[in-house]
Amino acid sequence: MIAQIERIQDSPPSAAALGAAHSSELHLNCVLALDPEKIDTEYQRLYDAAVKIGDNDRAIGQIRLTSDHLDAWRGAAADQFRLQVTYMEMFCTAEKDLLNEALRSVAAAYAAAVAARRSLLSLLDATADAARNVFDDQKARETQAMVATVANVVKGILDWDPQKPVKSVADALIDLGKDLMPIFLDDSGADQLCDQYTREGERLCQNLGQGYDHIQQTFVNLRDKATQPPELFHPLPAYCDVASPDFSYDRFKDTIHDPGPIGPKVDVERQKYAEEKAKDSEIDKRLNRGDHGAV
Amino acid sequence: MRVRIVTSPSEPTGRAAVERLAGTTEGGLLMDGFTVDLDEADKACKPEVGSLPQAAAMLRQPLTTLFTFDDWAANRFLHQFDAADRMQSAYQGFCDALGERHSRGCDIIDDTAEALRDIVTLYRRVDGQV
Repeated sequence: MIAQIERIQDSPPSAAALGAAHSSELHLNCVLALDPEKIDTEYQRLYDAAVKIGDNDRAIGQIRLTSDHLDAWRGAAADQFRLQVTYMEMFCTAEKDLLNEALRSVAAAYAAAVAARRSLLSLLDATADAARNVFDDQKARETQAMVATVANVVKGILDWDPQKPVKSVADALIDLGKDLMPIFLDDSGADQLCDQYTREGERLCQNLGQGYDHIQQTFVNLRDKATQPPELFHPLPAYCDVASPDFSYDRFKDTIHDPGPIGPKVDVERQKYAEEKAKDSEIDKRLNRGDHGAV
Repeated sequence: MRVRIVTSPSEPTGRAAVERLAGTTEGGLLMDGFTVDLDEADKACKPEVGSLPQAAAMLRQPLTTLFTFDDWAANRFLHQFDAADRMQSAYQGFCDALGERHSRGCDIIDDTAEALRDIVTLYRRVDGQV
């Protein structure tokens, strides 16, 4: 395109032409910064992770089976364990929701990168055609470029229902046409053409930057959500832990034994068991220089 | 030896309980129903094969995806755009946070299994099974 301008002027390039040449490098920097194929690959990885976590029938099935295995047990501790199992399933659902929202933002990043590339290509092609018209002093060629309002492309995708993530980011481009605006390049003169190209290119890059900033904010919001502890992270009460003196048979009992006769036996054995566990934990700590997680 | 089948209407599950009455001895509390209940609880927490350890193992599988990040840049030597870098950095921050959260969740599932194992072990000791 710049070579065309120089041919037209038949003299050292004007300020407008130099400006356009410099601007085009900056525009390419912005638009080519991200590789859509790499974003696509990332989308697929994240999509697979979302399925393995949230739609993992086998894992959810095992979690639900746990409640069945504890069905015979009664008492406050037994209820807490069953509640914990419920929180596990809720945890999986919440993880999947976070991933689905992230998928939507990754799709938006892909669409923004592709839309910006297509738009800049269209703008450069139309500017080159306009330059030839100026050189030939005739309006032989169409000088219309189709340029996306990238910020609108991003907004449109971020409005998608996160509960229904698309399997492929290519779906993010299906409605791209509605966000394309025609721009008619001014082929009345070389300087006018260069100035217009520079303005439109800068507008495209600003729009792309706004789109990326919007997506950045969604990731920041998601990170904040991810750092909020779910119910599952709240520790079980002390009476669920055999090492605690608050544990008793009455709090984790079945229908076979009445607490009266067996309760004291459990308490005596509990103390012995707790002491053994504490000793084992200390030995393990010294051998492994670590400690086990505690409820 | 007397075998008595007891159906308790107060039991929410309505399940029939089979109680074998043996002669009681000092510490001799051999009750098959209790063994059954403990064995059932053990199915939830037994290392590796219990339902909770299995669930934790399955949920851990996608963890590497969350902690692995490939640069989206086309060619950093040729093209750079600050807004793109900020967006990527925020994405990586999210993945790290979610990975930490998910890893901790799996650890808690394992810890819950361990707490149940302790109870099962304790009761088996009381019951003279170990």
